[in-house]
Amino acid sequence: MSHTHGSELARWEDSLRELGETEGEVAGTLPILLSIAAQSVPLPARGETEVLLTNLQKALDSTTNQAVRAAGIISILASELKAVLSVARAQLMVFPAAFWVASGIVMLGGMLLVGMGLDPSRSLVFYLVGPLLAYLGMRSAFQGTSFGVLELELACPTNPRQLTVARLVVMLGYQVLTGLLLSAPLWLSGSQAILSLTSTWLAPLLLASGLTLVVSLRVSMPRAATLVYAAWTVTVLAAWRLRGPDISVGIPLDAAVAAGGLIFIAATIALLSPNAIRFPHPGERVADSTLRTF
Amino acid sequence: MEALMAGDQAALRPLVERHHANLLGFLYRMVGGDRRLAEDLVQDTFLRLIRQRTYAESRPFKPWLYAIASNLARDHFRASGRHGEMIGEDALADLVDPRSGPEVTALERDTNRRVAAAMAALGHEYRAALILRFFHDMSLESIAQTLGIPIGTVKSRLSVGTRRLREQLANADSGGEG
Repeated sequence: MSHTHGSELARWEDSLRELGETEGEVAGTLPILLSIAAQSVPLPARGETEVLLTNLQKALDSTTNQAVRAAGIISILASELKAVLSVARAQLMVFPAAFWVASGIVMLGGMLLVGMGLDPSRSLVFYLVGPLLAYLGMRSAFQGTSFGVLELELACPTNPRQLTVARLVVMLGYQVLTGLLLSAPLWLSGSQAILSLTSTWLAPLLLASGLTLVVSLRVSMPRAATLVYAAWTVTVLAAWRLRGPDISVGIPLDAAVAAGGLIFIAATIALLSPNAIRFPHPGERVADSTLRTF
Repeated sequence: MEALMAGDQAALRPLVERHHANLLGFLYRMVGGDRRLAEDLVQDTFLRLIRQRTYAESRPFKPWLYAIASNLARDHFRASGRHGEMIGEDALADLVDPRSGPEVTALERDTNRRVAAAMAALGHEYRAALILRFFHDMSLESIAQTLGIPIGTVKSRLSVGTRRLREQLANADSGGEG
């Protein structure tokens, strides 16, 4: 670096003139540049480049592994989602026409009442609508008359969890989407009651669904659905009797109720294994039960 | 670089071997002669290059590499609260070519030290433009891409940078004579 060639000097001169410097300024700058060029600049030894390469290689391995892991996780999630949606589509036939119609009518009725000016938070019917939808949905989605969610094990021995999720996606997806679509005119009209309405039916719907699933791990699905809906109705009626129309629990508590429902659903799916499912009669073999029930 | 981003780890070696020395020289001058710091910044530059996934094939590689290096040097001084003018005497002494030996007069050594001090006193943006233009043979367009500024601003920085160097050395000379 300390030896500056004539060609480099010429290049510097050209560069300085390109900047519009006068001959005097060029003459004053060139010695400075020569002085800078004369200063020593380290050159990496071969060993230093190798050390640098080793360090970089470790970082590259780590980066590549992270990228591969991230790509793997995304791929797994995508394939899981695809599988659930595919199973959900196949499970549509499980739901009878009465489920689609009844759910739609119940939801439409609620919206009409709100449209007529009824305050959802002060009306008994709205506290019973959500769990009623859950009752209808669970009875339709899990139709094994004696086995509770064991029916899933029999219908899909390889992955009962996926089947449960698929049916819940269909059932809850339909009811939530219907509810939100029917609510759209109220949202657009700026109704203040709509948030209260949504939380009034959605939170109990999720809680009742979750509880029904949990209970159906031990009793048959019709019994579980009836038990949960009856318990909910009794609770609401008791609250109504004690506090009158002012039984609104407020949106924060509604959110907690909804979260509780989702936790119950998640817990049931996690517990869904042959060991967690109660046979209708202890000691009875699955094959025998299957033959008798279906 | 495209091969490296595509996962071809063998592409790392030629990339590093091609740019290591020049990058070290650039950063060494940018940080005022602190070799250890320059080496750390070289490694950080290559690490940043490996880990980022935003390199566009259409973008010239060298200005992009030097943009990373320049930004890291600037960030280092910002984080440490130091600026070029704060570079110590030891680092300035290191900038004087040890190979010069006894044949170089004391006056030349002193001149080199004062030039190095004047360079260190320049702002980061002027120093980067000057080093890239005169000691890395970069075109005005490449410097503009490296520093993320218009070509007109590059010319302005070069012009102001060289003028400040002249003025500082002239002041030092007059101060020395007085």
